[in-house]
Amino acid sequence: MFFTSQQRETIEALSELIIPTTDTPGAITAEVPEFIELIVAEWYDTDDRERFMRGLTEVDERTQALAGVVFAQSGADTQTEILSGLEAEGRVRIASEEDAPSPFFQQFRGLVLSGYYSSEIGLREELLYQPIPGRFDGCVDVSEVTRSVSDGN
Amino acid sequence: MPRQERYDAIVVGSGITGGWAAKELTERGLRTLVLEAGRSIDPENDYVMTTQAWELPFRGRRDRIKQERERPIQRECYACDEWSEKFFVRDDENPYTTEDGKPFLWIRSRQVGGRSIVWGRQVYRLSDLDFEANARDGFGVDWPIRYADIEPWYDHVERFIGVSGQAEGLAQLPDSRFLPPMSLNCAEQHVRESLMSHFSGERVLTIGRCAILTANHGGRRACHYCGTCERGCTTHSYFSSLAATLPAAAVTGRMTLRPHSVVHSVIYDPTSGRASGVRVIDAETQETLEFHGRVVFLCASALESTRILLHSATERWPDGLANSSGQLGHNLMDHTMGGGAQGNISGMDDKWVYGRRPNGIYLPRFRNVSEQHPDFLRGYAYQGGGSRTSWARGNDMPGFGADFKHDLRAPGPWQFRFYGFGECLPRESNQVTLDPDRVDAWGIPVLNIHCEWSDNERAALNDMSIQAAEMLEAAGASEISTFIEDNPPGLTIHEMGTARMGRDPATSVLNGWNQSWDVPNLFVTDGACMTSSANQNPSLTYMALTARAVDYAVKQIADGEL
Repeated sequence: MFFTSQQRETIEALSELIIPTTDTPGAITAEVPEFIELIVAEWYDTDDRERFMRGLTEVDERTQALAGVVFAQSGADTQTEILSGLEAEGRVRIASEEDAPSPFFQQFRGLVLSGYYSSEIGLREELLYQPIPGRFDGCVDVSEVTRSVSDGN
Repeated sequence: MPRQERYDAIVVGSGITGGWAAKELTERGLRTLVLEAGRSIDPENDYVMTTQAWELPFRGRRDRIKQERERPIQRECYACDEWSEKFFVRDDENPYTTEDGKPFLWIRSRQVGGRSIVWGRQVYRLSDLDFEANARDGFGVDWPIRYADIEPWYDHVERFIGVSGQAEGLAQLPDSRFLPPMSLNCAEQHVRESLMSHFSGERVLTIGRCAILTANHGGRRACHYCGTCERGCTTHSYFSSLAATLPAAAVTGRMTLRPHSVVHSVIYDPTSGRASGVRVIDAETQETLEFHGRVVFLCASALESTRILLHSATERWPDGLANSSGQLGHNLMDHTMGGGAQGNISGMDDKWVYGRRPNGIYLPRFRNVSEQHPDFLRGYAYQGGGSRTSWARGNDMPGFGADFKHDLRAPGPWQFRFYGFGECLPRESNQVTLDPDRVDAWGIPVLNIHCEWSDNERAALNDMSIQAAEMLEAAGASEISTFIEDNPPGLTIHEMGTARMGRDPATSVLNGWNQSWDVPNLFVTDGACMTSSANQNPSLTYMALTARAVDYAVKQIADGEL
């Protein structure tokens, strides 16, 4: 296990906030937090890992300052406020610094997206699962295919 | 004394050309030994067509640390991913050297089937615009053949492999014998029509011509449109030597296929003036073996075949077997790639596609076809196509939560992308030599590769980008952005030349039949033989030249010449 239990709780709360359970399961059911742990522990290089860990710590620090508890223990409104703030700051940084590494929100959301849309739930339940389409038609009405088709990746 | 075995013909390599040599030689009655450096491939167990992303440890993201250790060069190829990396060599076992700051990416497979298991499957004929190019502008030497010489062999190959595409009647890109074309999608159809009217028929966007079956053909099944051919196709719907030519050779009962056979050198017999066979290192036992044959076909891939010849130097040819011209190893080429543009196509958000087409568009060469461009010689063509963006656009969108998730469920805007591939001039200074200081895992000296793009290639890349944007504008695209990638030579994986065909033994390694000028029973029919590169994907031409060379060799044997 790479993360502490507090870090894991923060990651679970953040993941589910980004891809929540709706009419299909969300990030936690799709085991996105486990995927994030694998990538941070065994795939990231040192720079990316340090950036991630710093950002994760900052999420709890900010929540403590704002609400007196860690992120996972805070209410829905606080969590949304913290995350929206991080996103807005990230967007400003991306716009002002060319080639800068992804700010924490964008880095984290990228992991959630790639983890969710490569999970069995993401590919089979959220998107349209067509492993063997059997034919190709280059122009059909969208009403025939209301969801994005899993791209096989 | 090494063990010895005797055959009518020896084929080195079992990839796209080795498979064709094996098929044609055995069908013409020759007992043929096919030597493959790598392992056997069993589609039932090795192909990963049905493996889903969630079944892989890194979900298709690749094992970064393992790839850095084992395949730091191969991983630059898009197909060397978490599914298919096993179809590429390990770089630690197969090193080569380059000068600092002058990279060449050599992407390789060693396995029965070679790179035909993971190739791009795009197949285009060359035309006389290509075969006459060197003679016209003076770069390189004249091809010893013209379109009429190879045309029946294109027919022969296409009938067997199955090529889907649309006949367009263009002089610079002769039509193949086509199976039904895959359809263009709505965005591509719109761009095709816009360009037809805007450029008066001079720029023709057509569906990619590919060796993928759109109808059952020769015992192989039509494509099922799963979209990821490079993972291996258990219905054999795309052409590979493993799926088609090697089985055809096996059916004759005259093929012996020997995997784990690393060819060390060609054995030259100074008394007869012929190649008597090849020396092989068994990759599993490290034992040295000799195999003898009446004719030897080198089909090991351009640079591997040249490496074998360089390593087969004799007293008579101290700089490599069959190298009286001094041209062996020289005139290395690859195609440039990555000049282009992309943009959004509006007005068809209610339309989409069904199925995953493993093929894109092709826009044949239009530069230097009828009039000379002031900035560069030769030409380029585009691949690419239209598609709607996927969930990945979420990375560039604001937001998170239920609405964000719901937005990503539907397809995003239509995008269209032109991605150019350009011709590379043959230049003597782009060359491979044996590195005196380094050997591979089997003790064979490795190649030192020196290859650089010239201003001509760079000027064409620049024009690709400008013209792509102009065409997107003509098609009414919005948010057009151009790009010029800085890809090192090799990465297009169309490396060719280094044992060129020609009309004169003083300036070429092979004659017009892919036959060594110096050693008449030695043939080289892979990409090494190419006299110029054209801009088309080259495998179809290699296959046609191989079948043509076998026909010639068999007739020479019948006539008592070989």
